[in-house]
Amino acid sequence: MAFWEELFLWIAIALYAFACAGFLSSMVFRKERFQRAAFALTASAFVCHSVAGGVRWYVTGHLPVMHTYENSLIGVWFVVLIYLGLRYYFPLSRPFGVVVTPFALLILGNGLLVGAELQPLEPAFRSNWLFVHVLFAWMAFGSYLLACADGVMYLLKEKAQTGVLSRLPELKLLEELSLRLILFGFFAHAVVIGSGAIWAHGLWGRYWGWDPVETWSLISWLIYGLNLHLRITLGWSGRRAAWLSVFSLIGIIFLFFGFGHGSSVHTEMFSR
Amino acid sequence: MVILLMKKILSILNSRQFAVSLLTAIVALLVLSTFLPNEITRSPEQWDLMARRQPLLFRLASTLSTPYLVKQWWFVATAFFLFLATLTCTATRLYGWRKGRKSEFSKEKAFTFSTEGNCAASPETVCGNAARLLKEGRWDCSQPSRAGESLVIAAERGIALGFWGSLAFHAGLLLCFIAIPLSAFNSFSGNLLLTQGAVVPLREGVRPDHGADPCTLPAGTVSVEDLRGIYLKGKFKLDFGGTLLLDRDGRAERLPFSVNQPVSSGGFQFSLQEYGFAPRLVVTGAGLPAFDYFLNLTHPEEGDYFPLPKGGLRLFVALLPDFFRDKDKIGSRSREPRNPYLLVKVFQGEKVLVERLVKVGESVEVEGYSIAAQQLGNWVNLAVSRERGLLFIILGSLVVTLGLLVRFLSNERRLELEILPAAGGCSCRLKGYSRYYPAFLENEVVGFFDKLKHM
Repeated sequence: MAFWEELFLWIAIALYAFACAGFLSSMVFRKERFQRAAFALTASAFVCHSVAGGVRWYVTGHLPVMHTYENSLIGVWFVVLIYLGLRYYFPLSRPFGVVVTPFALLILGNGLLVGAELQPLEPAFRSNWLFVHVLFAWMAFGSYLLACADGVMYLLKEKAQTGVLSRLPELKLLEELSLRLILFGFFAHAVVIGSGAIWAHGLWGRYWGWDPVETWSLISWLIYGLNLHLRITLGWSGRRAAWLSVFSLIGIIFLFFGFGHGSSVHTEMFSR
Repeated sequence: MVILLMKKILSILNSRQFAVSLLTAIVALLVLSTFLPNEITRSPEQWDLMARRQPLLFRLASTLSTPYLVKQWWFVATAFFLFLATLTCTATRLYGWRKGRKSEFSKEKAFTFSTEGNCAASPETVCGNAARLLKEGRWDCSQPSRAGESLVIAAERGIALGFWGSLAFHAGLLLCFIAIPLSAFNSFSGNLLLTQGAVVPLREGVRPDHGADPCTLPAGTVSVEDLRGIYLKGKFKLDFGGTLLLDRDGRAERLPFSVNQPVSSGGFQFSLQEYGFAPRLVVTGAGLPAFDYFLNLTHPEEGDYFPLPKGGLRLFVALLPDFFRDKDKIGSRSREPRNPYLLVKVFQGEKVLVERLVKVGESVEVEGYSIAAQQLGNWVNLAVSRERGLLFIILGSLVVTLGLLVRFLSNERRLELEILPAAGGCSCRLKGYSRYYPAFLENEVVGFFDKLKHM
């Protein structure tokens, strides 16, 4: 890891940690000023995180999308970007940080544990499809994660109507926001599967191979497809829909951090 | 009777509950199947070991693990019914649209929300303010019209293609479904392991995957040359490739390939999968028949075993491409063959008969054996494939993503503001229509009306 990358990344991690504590405190003590401070910390962490990612890009000469650490770095960046974007267009979504920041810390921590050695872009990754595939994957993950956060907020708001929770968006707005987030995630996920299939055909000579990562990607996409059908076609709403948003994330967690990666062609894309 | 039965089947296929149930069943089966081991998640050695030591688990895994599950007739049948249900539902929606051609904001399809109140300004001023606000909010605003005493201004916003987006998404899925049988019944997949310099008949050289017929491959010979494996700082993979030579009916083709840059010939694609070292080793002596082969090392650092032509003897070969010795310790500084040495052992059962380091290009005499590492070549493993369903997958994916994008962006709304003269100003009634998201519509209508009142 380059010096400036390491420095800014650790500052970002510290800020995310404080932000996480702030969001949690705002929920526990029901004080909105904690939430405001936590959001400001998240935005500051994002700036430092961007610098760390930029330094990595400059030093390695390629977009940081290779292997676990770089994927964590760019992935969390996208997740936080989507959160900040959502907060801009929908100010009442600020408390979603209580779900976003711990996930950011977990993903970055997992990436750092695996190792952050500076490496050139491997031949298997030299494809234009890489950027489409990986960037949309993290957009989908970010949207699904925020939909899960939305579901959690719905369930909290439904239980407690006082303090900071009373300032959460109305239940029906939360419900529709979750639907829109899942719709966007589902679209981005479709791009991931389509681009992955085309790339796989060039790289491995087949577009689908039932590799664990491919299978879990399809499973999680189908889970969200089911989620949308249950909500739009069969009219699931309210608490059921909120629980659905929360539980649907399980497939995604398996996909990104599941058992499949250890023995998948996605780990060693080209053997020498 | 038959017609009644057909109608019943059609009504089942057209039921959304049926489609959702099938989808749930498929997801559940796939989830369970991923917890079972298979040949992708286990090495060939582990898979063989499981077959011998855990026959029940092996039987279960080789039936229900994902790559095998998807070939079971009942799984294929479930997927086929899902295809039929999707097709029927899509066709029904299209038929309904052709029959009805209802407006997106007809009563049955849209959500509405209205609010009303008084403004202090005159109807014309309020109308002007509303038009300005709507334009600022990027609403497509019509000219105000008069209906009796009232002034009416209407505006629309958002893409009104949600129905078509959803339809395109499902049509794209159908295209992807079509790709499955095309790939299953007409495709070819196999592996071609080639050592540099060796010329082999294509049909005999390719190891076909289960069910693939090598006779569909073109007749002719195949070889590779100019193989290269370049590392940065001796350890990071940088560039791997070579040239494929195909000789078909006396017509020779030279096709340069590399990772991610496959070559195609005769309808088949050749993609580089693996690259390795192949030292030529000659072992003679101690009553051995001649052993002279290029050894394709698959685990150069850990070493590979090869049977010797004399009963019970095994040869162990490990490659140290950039050899160094530090007191008692030996190793390789990098992955590049800058100073290649072979660590050669001859085993009888578990007993080591001979153990020696041999520099490539030299030979050694030991315990009556002569071991010569004559040269260091390379081998490659190419995936040979023909995918008939690819075009459908590409088209299907494109239509699916476009459909979903349109469906996501579609949030067509309409606002209608009716202004009536009243004592001390005017009375206004704002009505909003939306195809989706009623709560957002309500928020938008209330927000707009608040802004209008405070102008």
